[in-house]
Amino acid sequence: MKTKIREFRKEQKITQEELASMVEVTRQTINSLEQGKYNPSLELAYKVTKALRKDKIEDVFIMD
Amino acid sequence: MTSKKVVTKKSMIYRVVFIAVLMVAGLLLNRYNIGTNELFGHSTVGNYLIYIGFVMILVTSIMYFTKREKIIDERIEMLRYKAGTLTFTVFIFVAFAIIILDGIQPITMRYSLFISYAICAILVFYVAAYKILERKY
Repeated sequence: MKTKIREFRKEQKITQEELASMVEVTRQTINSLEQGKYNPSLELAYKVTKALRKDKIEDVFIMD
Repeated sequence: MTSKKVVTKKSMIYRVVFIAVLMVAGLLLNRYNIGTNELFGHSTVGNYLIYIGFVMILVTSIMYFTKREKIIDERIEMLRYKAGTLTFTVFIFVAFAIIILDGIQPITMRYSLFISYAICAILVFYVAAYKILERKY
């Protein structure tokens, strides 16, 4: 799965650590999500989308 | 799967109880001379339990005074599950291999020594599996 987390994170000027704290996961998990190594649960995908102030999960997470 | 934060204070109580159990078990084993010269031929099992207790006291104290919060999220839970499953599967295959080897040439190692090596091997394999999976996911 591809994600636009890094792109939106840079846009909002927040660090991986800050985003991780917002969605209550580790910084490594955010890094893993950004690299497309880990597919998140619906709940985590929703939380990340909200934290990045986007409306739809599809805006942030893109299926290959 | 949900993400969650394990608050240090809560887990601290369990840790303290666990340390107390370890150390009391160590003292009791020493008191009744159980496990003398059992572990790798040195010291006693009781002494090792007491050493581990002291190490855990040190680690717990550092965690308490630095106020570090340990986060266990869904990815970590998945890694734990996968590492556990992998370790269990390998353990089953190794157990079968040992049964076959024992049939060919009987293993003469002491039972207590064999079990202590087996437990160490399982722990090392689990940690290695976890670290490898951590790089993958």
